[in-house]
Amino acid sequence: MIDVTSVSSYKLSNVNGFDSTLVTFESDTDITAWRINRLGTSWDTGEVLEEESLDWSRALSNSWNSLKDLTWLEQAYIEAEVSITGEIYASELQAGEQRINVYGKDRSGSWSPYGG
Amino acid sequence: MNAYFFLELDTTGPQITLYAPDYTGLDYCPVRVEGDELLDSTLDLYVVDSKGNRFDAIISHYGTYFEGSIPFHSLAPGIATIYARARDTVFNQSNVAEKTILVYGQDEVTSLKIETAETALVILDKEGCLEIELGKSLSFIESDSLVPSTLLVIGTFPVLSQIGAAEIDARSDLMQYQFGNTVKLEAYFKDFDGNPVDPSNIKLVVYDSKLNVIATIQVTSENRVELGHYFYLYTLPSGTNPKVIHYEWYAEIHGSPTVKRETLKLVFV
Repeated sequence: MIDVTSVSSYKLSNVNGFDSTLVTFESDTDITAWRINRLGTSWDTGEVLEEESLDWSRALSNSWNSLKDLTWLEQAYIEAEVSITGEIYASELQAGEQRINVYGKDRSGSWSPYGG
Repeated sequence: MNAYFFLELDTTGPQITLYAPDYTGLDYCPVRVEGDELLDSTLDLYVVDSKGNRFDAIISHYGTYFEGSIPFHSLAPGIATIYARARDTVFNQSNVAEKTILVYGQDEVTSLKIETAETALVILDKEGCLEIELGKSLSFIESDSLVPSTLLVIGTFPVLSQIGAAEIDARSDLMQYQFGNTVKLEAYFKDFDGNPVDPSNIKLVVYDSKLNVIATIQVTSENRVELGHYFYLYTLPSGTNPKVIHYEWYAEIHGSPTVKRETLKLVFV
């Protein structure tokens, strides 16, 4: 289960200083990837705003240099109840109010459900 | 525990409306700026008088609106324009709201001789218990900064300066009255030399917080106590939610208009 613990601002504009918000969340289980989506009803629907993958899949899209300073554990997963912060930019949003969903993928490869 | 939240992108500025009377004396003038959404506390508010001079002003912030009185003592008589611009909580700029206002004073446009008139107000409740007695304060006001043309405002200087200086807490400084009560409003009209004088065309005008006229009362000789001294028993509007009203004594002394305003806060006790 994913829990959004804080959002620095629930209202953004295109004005400098108000054009992004920091989202902090944590998982109650170890996760190997997370994703913040705008709208959608599952991890693979909606528009991906921010994401991070710590499993081997990212080795496919990153050079070794970016990974070499990390431990194997850091590369492999994020421990449960560790705070994770992502940033959402106004330029990624549509005008008006929209639902933002946060998902995590556990070490067995299952993504957390919509809404929880 | 939620894995979602709602985020709003607001790219449009608030629409604001500026409320002010159509005319004023060289006095404090009530102003209200109202937005259609929650506003930031920063308000760009200024007045440009008939000679093109700009005067910046500050009024209190109350979430979706600003309210307060701004000094017109130093403005040139004639047509002045009040300008206001606000922003919402994510700094989207509002429209520029403006309102023209006629400032009475010695001027070729208005041909007024307000400096020769002086209005003092006394507010008493129905039982005669003194609430605010401005008339008695006249002798205590001696300021080198006052020029003859500001003598008109001397009568209300003590209370109005209190309202104007405490911008944030101004509303709490206002006298509070029970909805529906009847108050006795009195006015003393004097000439420049301090002699009582009976003016003509005496009116008591009551405004709501948006400066809409809610009552215009022609004060006649039946309301005359003695030379230069008039009263009116006014029943306050009913209601339960605290609100502000403004009232105004208007009269013409030797043909020159004179205006004096005061603000009351109505509460449900």
